[in-house]
Amino acid sequence: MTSCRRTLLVSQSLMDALGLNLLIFLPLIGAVVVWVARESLAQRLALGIGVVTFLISVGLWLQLPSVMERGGPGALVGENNVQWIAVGERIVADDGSSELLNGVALHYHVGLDAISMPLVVLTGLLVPLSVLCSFTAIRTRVREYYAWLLGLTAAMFGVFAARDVLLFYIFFEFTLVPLYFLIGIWGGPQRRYAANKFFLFTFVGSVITFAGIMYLGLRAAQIEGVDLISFDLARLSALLLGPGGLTVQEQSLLFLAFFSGFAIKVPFFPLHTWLPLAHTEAPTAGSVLLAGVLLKLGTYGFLRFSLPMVPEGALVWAQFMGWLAIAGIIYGALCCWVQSDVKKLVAYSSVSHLGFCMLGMFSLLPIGLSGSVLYMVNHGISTGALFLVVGMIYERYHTRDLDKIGGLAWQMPVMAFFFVLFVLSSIGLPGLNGFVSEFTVLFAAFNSDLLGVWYGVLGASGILLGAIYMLYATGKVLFGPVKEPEGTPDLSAGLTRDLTPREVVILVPLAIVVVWLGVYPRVITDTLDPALQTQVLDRVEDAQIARMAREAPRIAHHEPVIFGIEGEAVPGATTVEGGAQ
Amino acid sequence: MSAPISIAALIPELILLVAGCVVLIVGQARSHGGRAAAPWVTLISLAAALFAVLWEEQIANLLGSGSRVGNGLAYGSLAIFVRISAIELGILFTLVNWSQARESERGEYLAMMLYSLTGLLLIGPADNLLVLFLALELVSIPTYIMVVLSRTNVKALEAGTKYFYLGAMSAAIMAYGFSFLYGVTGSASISGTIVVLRDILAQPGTLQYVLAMVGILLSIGGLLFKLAAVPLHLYVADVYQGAASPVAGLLGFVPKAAGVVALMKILLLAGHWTGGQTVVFWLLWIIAAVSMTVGNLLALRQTNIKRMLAYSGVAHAGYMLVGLMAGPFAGGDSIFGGIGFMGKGTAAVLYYVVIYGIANLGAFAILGLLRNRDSECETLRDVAGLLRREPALALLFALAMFTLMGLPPTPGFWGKLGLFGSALAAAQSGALAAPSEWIIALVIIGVLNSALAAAYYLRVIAAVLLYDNDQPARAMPREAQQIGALLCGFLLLIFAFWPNGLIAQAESGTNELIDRLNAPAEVATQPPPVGSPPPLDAEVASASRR
Repeated sequence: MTSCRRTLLVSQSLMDALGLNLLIFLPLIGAVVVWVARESLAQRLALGIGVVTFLISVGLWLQLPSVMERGGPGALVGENNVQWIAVGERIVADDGSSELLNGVALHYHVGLDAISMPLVVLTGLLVPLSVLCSFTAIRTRVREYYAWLLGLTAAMFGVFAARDVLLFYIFFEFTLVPLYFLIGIWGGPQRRYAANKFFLFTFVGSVITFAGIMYLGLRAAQIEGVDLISFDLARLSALLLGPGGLTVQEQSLLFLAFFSGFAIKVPFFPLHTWLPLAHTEAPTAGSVLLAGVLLKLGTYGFLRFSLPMVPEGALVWAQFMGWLAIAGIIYGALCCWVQSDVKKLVAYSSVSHLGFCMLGMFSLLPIGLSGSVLYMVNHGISTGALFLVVGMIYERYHTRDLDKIGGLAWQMPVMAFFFVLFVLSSIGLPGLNGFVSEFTVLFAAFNSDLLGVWYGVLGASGILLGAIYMLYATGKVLFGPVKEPEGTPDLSAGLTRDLTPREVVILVPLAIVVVWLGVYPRVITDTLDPALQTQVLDRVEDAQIARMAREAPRIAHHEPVIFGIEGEAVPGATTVEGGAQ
Repeated sequence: MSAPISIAALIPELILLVAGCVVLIVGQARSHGGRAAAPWVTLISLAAALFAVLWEEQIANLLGSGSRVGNGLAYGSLAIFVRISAIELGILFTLVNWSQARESERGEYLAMMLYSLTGLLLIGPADNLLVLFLALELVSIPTYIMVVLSRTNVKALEAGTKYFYLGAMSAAIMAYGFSFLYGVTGSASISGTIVVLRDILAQPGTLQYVLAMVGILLSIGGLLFKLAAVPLHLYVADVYQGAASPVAGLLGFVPKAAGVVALMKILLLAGHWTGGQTVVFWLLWIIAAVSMTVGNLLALRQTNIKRMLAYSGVAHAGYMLVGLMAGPFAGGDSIFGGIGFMGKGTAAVLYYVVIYGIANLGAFAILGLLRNRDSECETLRDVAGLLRREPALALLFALAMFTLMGLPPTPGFWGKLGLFGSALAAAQSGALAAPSEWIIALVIIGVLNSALAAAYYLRVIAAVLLYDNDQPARAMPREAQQIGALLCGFLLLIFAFWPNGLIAQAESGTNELIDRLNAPAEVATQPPPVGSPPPLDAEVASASRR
């Protein structure tokens, strides 16, 4: 009986591994097939692959609770670990398996845990929708388009699944290529400039991250006293802190190295200039995936890599990050207010929203971290949905100018319903998904020892501004007297005045998720919280302890009282002291 | 003098040398068919040389194994790596240059290529400054001729002349440097004088020390020309532009590989990787940083792709210098064999030279194939919209650019991982004669430069794939050249996803350097091969010896 059960479990985990590999390689193979297939087949083929990947991602998600029950909070669904690039001397065991003694080893190590799973499912959801929304919008070089879109899909799944830091970096960089072509070929009038700017901004930042990853990999071998360089996440996020390990100076410099890659992707306030341009020029599907998934690479990078690998660096820079986040929240919101281009408005709102996400993350509290992951998912859904709706309007009216269109609620009542729903989700109406994450993030900012009340207050002002600009734009587009540019709506591509059934099919799943996550966020947080605790927060606590150990003699010398309260160290006292230096 | 080297050890070089002479004669044949045989003879001789390398042991058994060391040559793992990579790239060069030059001059042209490759093959085993110098000149002089022969254009003549004069000057500088080294050590042998020179360099302030340093610095300076590093980079753009594209592709590998390997030997001699001299360190640091930056900034300003690739070659020379500086001990001198690729800068450099050679050749091969309105494609405008007309070549071109850019997971990325990784390892282990912050700073300069380089590579990619053109370029129907270009792309793909073999070979190639550095320590108890350890007034001694 037990052996039968074990066989079942083994075969289940094999199935999971197969599924995860399919998630990455099926779109990649699909991309090649689509490129050489007949034009009429390309759309359907791409959609089919998108749906299959979505089903696989959901299937893997359903496995998550049982896997976590068996393997603990850090357990991986569909884990797969093979050596890819491995050069060095080997020791061969009796059974023929060999192990690397020294040299460099890069592993193809993939697996999904509770932190990456929601983002993978989000990707799985958005991909078929973005394929579907391109059916009428893309009319030139159709096969290439879907090939690049599928290539992008593969890279996005890979980036969330990677458990090897260098592998992550490879996928991270590889997302640039397909999106570069998606924007550069099928984008708006300034597409080539936008594509180049997007590529170069991200590339400049990430090469420094690359230097940081190399340094950390080498340093790991030095600290552990071995000659094997590998970039496994588990290894690099368990390095000794304090004496004999990573020094604070090293960690804060490494944090900056990671920052330069991830912060451009997030994007943080002064580094965001590529984003509105890329968004406005990109085709709808590109915008959806860029906002929905690719921006999360930055926030995910901070959470998954910066925090556990260089936790003391994160502590050193936490307040700086908090201020940057707030600057982004307010600056992004103010920019939104004055936009007349709807797409640019949504793009700037991303700058503002991801500021919230980062604010929650760098509160370094459990609730803040889980709120920020929720924020990633919710932002992906509501902003992705808004881009879809805006794209649908654009297809009919060929303009995104708020001053040229108006009163569309009378022309397109179904569209208006969805538009309002997603706007409300985006500004955080209680009962919809945005509220949960916004609330938890601000709650964490208020209560954090590292950040504090002012961060919360200023952050909360962003909500107010968000409501203003979003509702203002909604009013202009949907209500008031009807305004349509001459010769529109253009229904030549087989569209109808209001949404077609295809477009409704695109928006309905997102609407369902908006409500579902609004009333029952625990579907994510139940598994997410323990995973965050073991994989990120424990490490941050280690760093706090290391920091206290380092500063204890000094504090004890100056103010012995603080350390003596109820016989235990007060993290707040020490961290505030440390943060103020 | 030790026993002479056996002829069996030299078979690959001899094959190429003899084949060069045959090609020279065949190329003068009266009939068209006879002249058309020249490229075939070249290809077959290269294949034969490759087999001779691969089946070295069997051949040695057949002919009776003789000494593999002697007459200023010492065959070791470095020589094997250089041989294999040079011959394999030689095959690609032959394919790409199949119909280059006028038919009546093709024999001479291909013969020059074979001589140049022979020179490169001899640099690997060269263990004597004189042999090294001769081998370097054997590499260079035929390339001057190739540049001139490649096109019936006055520009090619100008390029060849410029290349020749600057090359001659750098050779003179190098020879002058070598003569100083010979003067202070009393021997031209490389492995034999490591210890002697180490002792001399351990006494700063003495006359010998000064003379040795002058010798080392001049030798390095002369070799920079081969690498095309700043400040001896001024010729590259004109030469690349003036020469036909396939020759430019060859110039990206043969002289660079020769310069890299020769520089390894000089740095080995200078003891740069074991303690080393601060002056040498800073010289290399500055040259590396300036080469990367100046090369990329100049490339950024070009609209002519050939000039752009030429200047990007300067930047790549800078990356290679980073790895050379880090050296084979960057990861510390560990009993476990070290951390491999990321700790052996020299291995990374060898790997990178090959990858750079393939990618550069691929790009130039495609440029050479394309014709826009009956003239060779050179500018961005010429290649715009290539995807519509020639999708395979366009994608290949993009692949070559992404490789040069170092985007993961192209092989160029693995190269950067090795080069910059070993520099970081050197910073951590403190193997070099400088504070680690400065090495890390060099790495930061390096990675930022690779981002800067992305800007102009991306311009080419955008032109080829994104832009439309009323009159896109079309490829000439030249099978050999197309096969060569496709092979380059194929190799790049292989090395993208399975670089293990090449990396392992490059690593074992540099193990020889490590052995040579360790070996003299054992030999040191015996008297050095030539002469006695120099007395304090070595200058007088060496003068009297002369």
